[in-house]
Amino acid sequence: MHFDAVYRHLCYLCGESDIAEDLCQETFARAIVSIAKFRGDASLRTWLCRVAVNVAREHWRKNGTQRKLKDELGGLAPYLGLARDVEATHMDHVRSKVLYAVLGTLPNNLREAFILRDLAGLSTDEAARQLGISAGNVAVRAHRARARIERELTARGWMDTGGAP
Amino acid sequence: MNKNNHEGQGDPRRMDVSEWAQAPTEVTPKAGPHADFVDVVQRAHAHDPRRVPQNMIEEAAVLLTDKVSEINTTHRMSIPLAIFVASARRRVEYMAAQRMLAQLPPVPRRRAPPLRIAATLAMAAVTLILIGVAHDPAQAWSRLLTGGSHQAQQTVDLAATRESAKAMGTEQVRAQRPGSAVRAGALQEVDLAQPRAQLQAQAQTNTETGLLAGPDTARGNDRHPPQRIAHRKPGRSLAHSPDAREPRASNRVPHKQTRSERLRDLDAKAQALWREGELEAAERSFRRVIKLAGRGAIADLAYGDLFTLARQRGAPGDESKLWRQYIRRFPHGRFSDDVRAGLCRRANPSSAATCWRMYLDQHPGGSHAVEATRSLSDMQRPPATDDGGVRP
Repeated sequence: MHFDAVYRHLCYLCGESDIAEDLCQETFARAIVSIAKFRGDASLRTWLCRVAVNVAREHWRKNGTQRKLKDELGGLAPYLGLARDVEATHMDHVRSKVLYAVLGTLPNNLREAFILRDLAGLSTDEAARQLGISAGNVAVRAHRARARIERELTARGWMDTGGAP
Repeated sequence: MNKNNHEGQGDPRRMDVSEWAQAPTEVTPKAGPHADFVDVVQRAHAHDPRRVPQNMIEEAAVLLTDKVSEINTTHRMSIPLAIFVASARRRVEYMAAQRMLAQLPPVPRRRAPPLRIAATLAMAAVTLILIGVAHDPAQAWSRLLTGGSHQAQQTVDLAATRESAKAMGTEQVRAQRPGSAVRAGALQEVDLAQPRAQLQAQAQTNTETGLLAGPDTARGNDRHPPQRIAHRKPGRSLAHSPDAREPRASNRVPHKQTRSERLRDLDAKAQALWREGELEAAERSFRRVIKLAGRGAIADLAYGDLFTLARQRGAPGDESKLWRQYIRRFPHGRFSDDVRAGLCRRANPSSAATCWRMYLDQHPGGSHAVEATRSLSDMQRPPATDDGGVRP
């Protein structure tokens, strides 16, 4: 029942369907093991999404995302001069990859706040519930994340062209 | 302001106060102000094409195609970043939609063990042979047995075999091999004295050779009956003869191998744990071996290891419990002699005599028979008195 929601959530968190699939399985496996810890304070879906965030954090930690995505970001530079008549889907793909690569360079706390608040479009309260922090903290982190992403995109030349390849 | 009220008047900036007073004061909740963002950017571009390039108009158009919710959450960020976010969203939603529309994955199928595949192929080959010999079974029969080819000697027609077996009545044995030639109705001859491993190897060889046998192999000139034929009680069907049970046993070979491999691994693991001093973990592994092996020889041996472990851990209570468990499972096991003696040694004085008697009944020539006899005689001797004499 909650699989689709958790899967979508993980897609937002990691940006890759294959990884999201794997992490989704892991999320449910952990949920089964620790279902006794679910106190019913929040909805089951929120609790599952919170478990998913923890699983994603672990994935980021294990995979040394920051260094890898910095390399990937450098590899995407050739797309900067891409003709504007490129298919919209492909442009989405490239932009998405760039954004996730930049997100990978951020500290986890800023990254997850930005993803949940700005990318996944959750309300501040919902994002705060999932991250286990206050709503104000979410807002501050998301704001800082935005600033850093824009700075990074500008430094790498993606903002000069208006963010479009 | 009601713009229409001003139309038709000389100066649109002038307004009749009375009309204004009569104008409805309620705000009609038709729609909020709708800003055409693309139009704004286009006008800005017309004013200063250098500061507002053409691509910004396209980006504005992209933004407007996004959902309202996206715009609501992207208003806090700059337009270029909002474009990135919108693209990422579309991609993620696309991925999620793809996943939701995907069919259920097929149920993973277990790969058939190679032996089973070979056996199936052998059955197919034998079926072909039988189709080939169906026209003249006797001729094919003799050709198969005396034609010089190994597979021909082992693959014969079942009906013909039954007749020959009745006629000859020799002391040969027959063993059917499931999944090989015999299962399809042919007969295979195996010496009972052959060890099991050899039989299995032969079964595999037969399976392999069965693949090579074609309909032509089944035809020959020699009409001699088989040299080795089945030995069975007259009037008893092949399927119910003791030998006919052999195929079922051999059919279980792959399963047994898997189980024995597991048992071997578990046993090795237990031994390794023991060597490392992980006594409790080793004990758990040995218990798993026992559970898996049931009443097999490996379980019997594993009990021996458990006895030693219990002694090593210094738990005599556990040891006695294990012994009783062992005797229940293996009343005639390899340690039953020692275990019974051990139980008798630890028995209450009231029941020790009975225990030793039972021991002597079950193990008259047992390695503790002398001790049993001595204990019994000691128990029957009257207790010594204080003055060193014997109480009557």
